[in-house]
Amino acid sequence: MPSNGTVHVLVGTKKGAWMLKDAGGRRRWNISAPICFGNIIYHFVQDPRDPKRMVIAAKAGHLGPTVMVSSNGGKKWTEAKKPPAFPEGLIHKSAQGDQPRTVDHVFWLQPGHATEKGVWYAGTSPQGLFRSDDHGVTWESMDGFNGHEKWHDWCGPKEQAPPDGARLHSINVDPRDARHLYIGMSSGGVFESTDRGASWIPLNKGCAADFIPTPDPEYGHDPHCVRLHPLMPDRLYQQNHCGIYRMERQKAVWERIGMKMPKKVGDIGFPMVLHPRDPDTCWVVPMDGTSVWPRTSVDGKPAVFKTENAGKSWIRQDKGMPAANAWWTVFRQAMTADAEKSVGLYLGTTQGAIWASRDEGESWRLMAEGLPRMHSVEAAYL
Amino acid sequence: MAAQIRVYIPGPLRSYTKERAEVSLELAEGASLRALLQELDLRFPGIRFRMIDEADRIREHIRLFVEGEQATGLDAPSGKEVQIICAISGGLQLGRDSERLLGRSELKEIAVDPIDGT
Repeated sequence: MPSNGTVHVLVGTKKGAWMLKDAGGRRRWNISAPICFGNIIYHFVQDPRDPKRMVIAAKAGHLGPTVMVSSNGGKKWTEAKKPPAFPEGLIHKSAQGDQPRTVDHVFWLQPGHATEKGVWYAGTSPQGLFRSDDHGVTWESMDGFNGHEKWHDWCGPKEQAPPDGARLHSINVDPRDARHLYIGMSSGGVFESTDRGASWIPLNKGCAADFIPTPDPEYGHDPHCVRLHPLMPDRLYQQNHCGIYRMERQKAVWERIGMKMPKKVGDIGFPMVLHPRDPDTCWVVPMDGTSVWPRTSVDGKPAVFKTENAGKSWIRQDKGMPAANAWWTVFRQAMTADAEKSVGLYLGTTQGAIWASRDEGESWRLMAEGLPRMHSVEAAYL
Repeated sequence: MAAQIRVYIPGPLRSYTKERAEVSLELAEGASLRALLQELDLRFPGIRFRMIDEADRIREHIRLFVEGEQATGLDAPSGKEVQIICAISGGLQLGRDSERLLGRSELKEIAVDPIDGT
């Protein structure tokens, strides 16, 4: 993320995208007119290498998926000339027999390595990985993943997808090496490539997958959000369907750091947000993952939890948030941090509100409300 | 021999046609829907992929009607008039779910868009 300019918060919702601009001390915000109004926006991301460039993953209720790009800071948007689409011949196994594999929606957008200007990655539903070399205007299938002989083993049949579709997300690029990539799949697990996506290996050892009958499966896990710390690229954090984890890459084993969360709260959630300058600090938003998975705040009392020691202990941060009867939660790309000296945090709720903290989670204020269901919230500088 | 084909564009796709609800395309007589959509995409880039997926299947919530008859694939001739419809789907299936769910037989059709209709 660039740290020059004014803090902006880019919001993708079920009904369009909005940009919020700091209008004074991160206390007051100006909100833009809706962008791609009425479209389902899954992700809205700025290019840190070229801050006026932005990319949006969009889909309308009746229409197929697409990608929108802006080269002037979000003032004007044009549609990708070639949105992500699976190549001919790839199939998706299902109970009804083999079906052509087609992109339902683009779910995750990730700018490429700092040295590869114009490169973006996209993750889709069903699980697909795509690359653009021209700022998101045209997209090509990464066949090292999409055409992998074990794709069906890793990703499962069509019927096995979660209710909103199986997704490829959490695309992480090693800042030391443009060839080194990680991805997360719900379901499928975490996978790693060291050859720019030509080949992949599962990276799930130590991570629970208690919904699978096989003990310690190699893949089939359900990572919700995986983040690599840019200042310590061999450290990965993961918010998983089955808890909060950290991996030191040399050890290649996930350690469940969520066991130190309060038992009544648990360690299930979607987002995982890292402190931009301290690899030991990160935030999660627990949700109710009991019984039929209500996916609300636990007991209707929303809270963020912070660790400052890489998961050895957790601090509840809910000052300013509703004390009760707030049954919302936060999706995996709907929470972010800015790069200010006192880090700002922003989370978008399933009930269309944005809560913000100017003091690294110590206290929270309602920043905006009345917006549609939040799918993504990303910090930007313009 | 060339033929003029009128194409009716539904609201969600009019951002591609500068809000025009109807466009006219010139194609060889008997040209298929596939050829018509290719021509439409040349005139209005990107419009085809929003209606037709990468496996050449008509998307779930799109219907194509050729002179009033619903087309099930792209090989059908495009005739003189093609209507692109964004399907209203969801709600109740009359004669099956509706009676069971509402517990009576005299029903009004209830249809909502399950994706954006909340």
